[in-house]
Amino acid sequence: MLQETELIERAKGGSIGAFTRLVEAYRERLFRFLLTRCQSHADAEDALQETFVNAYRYLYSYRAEWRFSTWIYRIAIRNASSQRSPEVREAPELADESNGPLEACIGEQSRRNIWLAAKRVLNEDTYAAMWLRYVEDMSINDIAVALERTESWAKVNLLRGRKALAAEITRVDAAHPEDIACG
Amino acid sequence: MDSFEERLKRDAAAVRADVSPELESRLQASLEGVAAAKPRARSNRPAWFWLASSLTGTAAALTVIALLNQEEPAAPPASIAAQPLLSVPNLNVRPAVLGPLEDELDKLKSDLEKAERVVRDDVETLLGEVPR
Repeated sequence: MLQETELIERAKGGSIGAFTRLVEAYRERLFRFLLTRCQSHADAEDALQETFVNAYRYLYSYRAEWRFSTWIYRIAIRNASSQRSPEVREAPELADESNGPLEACIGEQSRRNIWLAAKRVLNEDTYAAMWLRYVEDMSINDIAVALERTESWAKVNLLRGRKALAAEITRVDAAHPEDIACG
Repeated sequence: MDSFEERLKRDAAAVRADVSPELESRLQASLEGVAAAKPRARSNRPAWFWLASSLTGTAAALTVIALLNQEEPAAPPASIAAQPLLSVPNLNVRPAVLGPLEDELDKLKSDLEKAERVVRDDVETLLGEVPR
């Protein structure tokens, strides 16, 4: 099996087959993340498509010293932001929380999913930082690069996000003890 | 990894993110329809080449400036030099307005001398001779 760096080099050389292998490796991870960022399932699909198209188009600018996942997540985050209309960005409280793509993908049986709580209590960038850290196992430096922030910002907001999320989980567990029993 | 981090990871994995066959074919079609952008043509010349060319350019510019500053200022054409820049008025010409005023001044001086003489005579008559 070809290594990621070799696939990237081949894709840089014009091999769409090599790039398709990269797409296959990243599409579900990115799609899962985009579902949590976008306002609808369709927006997440559009953002995923734009991410791969832009990545392929500008692959020449990718440098081997970067982690490919960081680079492509950075593109995805930009595309997710651009998918959202200005009205939604200015008035997020108008979004129907129960009908978002994340809620639809989690399903009824997992309504205590911690990422639903995260979406309630964290702002977008802190949420993304938490996702990149705890789901993608990115380093602080990679998170800062992906979110176009400083390392200090990433450290502080990861800490704050974690505290806020822990407090929210405690609050929810206290309010609905029957859910804990059900698992 | 503590339980909180484990839960974050586990719950993220619970988010269904299946890529449908439609989306998969859409992705493939969009990739086939786009051409990878080419990087701007970059020269493979070494860094010293650019340094040397910059220094050469700077030296050439300085030489041209020095040569231009060494040249004598160009003399103006003779026909232009011969022409006076401004027509100087003839200051010896007595303006018409000054004539009557000067005549009047002469008359006043004469009247003053006459008055002075009269006063002197009166004083001499009264007090004796007054030294001039």
